Amino acid sequence: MVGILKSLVASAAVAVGRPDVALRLGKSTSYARALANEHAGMIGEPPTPAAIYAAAARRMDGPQPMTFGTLPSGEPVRVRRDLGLMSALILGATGAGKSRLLIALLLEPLRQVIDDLRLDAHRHADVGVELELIDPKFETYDLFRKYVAAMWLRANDAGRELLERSVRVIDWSHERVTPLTPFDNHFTEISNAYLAHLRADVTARTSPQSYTDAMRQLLYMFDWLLIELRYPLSYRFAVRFMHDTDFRKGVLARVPEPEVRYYFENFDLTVPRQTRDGFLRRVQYGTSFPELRASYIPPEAMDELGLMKEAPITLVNTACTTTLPQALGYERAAWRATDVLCAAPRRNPRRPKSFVLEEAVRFLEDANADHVETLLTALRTLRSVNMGIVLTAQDFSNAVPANAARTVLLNTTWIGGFRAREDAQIFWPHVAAIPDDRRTESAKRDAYLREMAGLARQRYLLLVKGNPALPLRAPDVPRPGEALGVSEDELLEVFNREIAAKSMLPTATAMRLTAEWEAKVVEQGELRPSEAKSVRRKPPITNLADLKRFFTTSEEE
Amino acid sequence: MKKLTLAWHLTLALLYVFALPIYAAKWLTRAMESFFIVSEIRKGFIDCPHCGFRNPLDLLALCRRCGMAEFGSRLYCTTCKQVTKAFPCDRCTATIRVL
Repeated sequence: MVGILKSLVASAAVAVGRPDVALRLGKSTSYARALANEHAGMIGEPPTPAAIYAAAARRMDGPQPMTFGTLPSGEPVRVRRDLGLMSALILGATGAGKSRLLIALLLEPLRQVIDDLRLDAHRHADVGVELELIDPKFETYDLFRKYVAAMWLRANDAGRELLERSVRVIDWSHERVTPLTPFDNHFTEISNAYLAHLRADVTARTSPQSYTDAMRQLLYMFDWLLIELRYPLSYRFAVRFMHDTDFRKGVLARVPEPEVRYYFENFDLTVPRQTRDGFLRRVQYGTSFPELRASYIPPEAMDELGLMKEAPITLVNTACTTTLPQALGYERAAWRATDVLCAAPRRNPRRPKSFVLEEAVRFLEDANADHVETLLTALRTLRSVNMGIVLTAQDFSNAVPANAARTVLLNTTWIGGFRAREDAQIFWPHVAAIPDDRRTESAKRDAYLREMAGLARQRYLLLVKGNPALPLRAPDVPRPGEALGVSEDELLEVFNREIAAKSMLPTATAMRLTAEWEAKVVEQGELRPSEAKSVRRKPPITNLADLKRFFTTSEEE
Repeated sequence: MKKLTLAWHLTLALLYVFALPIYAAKWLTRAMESFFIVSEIRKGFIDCPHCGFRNPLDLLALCRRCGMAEFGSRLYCTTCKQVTKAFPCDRCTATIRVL
């Protein structure tokens, strides 16, 4: 009774702006509690790792949680969505379970939406989270698309419709390709010149061939020309443009940018023939593979195709190692990453976005490249637009340049560490100590490193900044289609038919579009015959010899 | 003149009547807030909204104003009667506002 009365009086005192009265009322309780707290701090038992983990798990929990796994005690660790979708780094050896953890985390929000739609088909359907997955090794992309197909099979009509309009695929294969328009400037804030620089920098740095300064300059100016004209990359166009002076003049007449015009008008004088030939060899190499050549669609044709151009979930497969040269896949991964990161500052921050880059070590190797700088800047700044960047890597500590590694470690909110020895050093300062362990610090450290080097599959350490590293078992991810009794081939067929078809087109169709464009622009010069004649000025006839020459050439024509 | 005064008083009374529910709502909100604040203080600890660390309110507190160290609430100094409305989190140093 006294307690309730005290509480009411204290509340009233705070309400009238006299908190001192409220605090004075609880003076004796505060004194006793303060003594107890200090006493416990001085002689109390140090907390056990289990208690530390449980307390950390409680702190990470919150609204719309994502399941990161289970503690050794079996207690699940759920991390609130705003924390779980922040920038992260997942480290570990091949086959340790990085991709499965990633899939478990990324699919969870999508699965929740589809399940909600099964319960209530009339609710507002939105995926809630945006995702961009760039996979240069195919495995995660392949698993992800199979899970999406399994989800499509389980979903009701509303869920299927949501998946069909929310998932975009960027891939290139013998059967179908995603059209690509890298030389079409759809950014509002980026100039054509800077876009050309970004494209040329990526091409030169990812190419297996070397680029001299002159060739790099030619590449930059040629990319700029394509962007000014909204042309696709075409070897035929490049050859005719560089060798046919009349054709070049005709093309340049339609270029609004004087810098580009000036460079190519004096082309024969400024660019050595060897450089030009070398450049053409590189263009030919880049467009010689049919899947890639087919993907360079003229932007006008792309507008008419009506294919999905952007979607909340974009799956990008740039794995080329078994079918195409790796460098070309890397080039496209870097182009796509740059596009997404450059567009990110103007995105709607109300919907969180996760940008996942698999095998980030290859991406981060060249610290001076513009696309790496873009990524590192994005890691520092994109938190303000509710976008997190998730990087997965193996041998991160050794393979990534020190300054890039430091930036990544400083700007990621959580780090997952699977089986690895060198990368385990990152977690050591955050590992909870066992109270009665009497070994020396170095002995403890050696034992920890040995343990991390031999960690079982699916086991990992989760370090959320400000918390101790938690030893977790990643969530189980059953084989896609297992619950439905559907084979993986059937899942792929469903995915290609129902989802990928919205953003891809048959390779033969793409080749036809490219051939039509080349026939129109390269062969016919995109100039009507009357215009073509008017371009070629004939010398005036001033004497008999001129008249004779005039009739001779006319006959030849 | 008398009529004008009467009308003025009536208008004023009417305004008070109209304002009454607004003030009542305001007082109710304040009362609820105060109740929550007091219940937080009575618990004896406050979780940091940034890092989640559980900060004890009662400890060997040092008054920032007069320098007095005493066992009691970190929000109130019994010597100089200073009320501290906020304090830094013991772990991450983020400011935690209590009152």
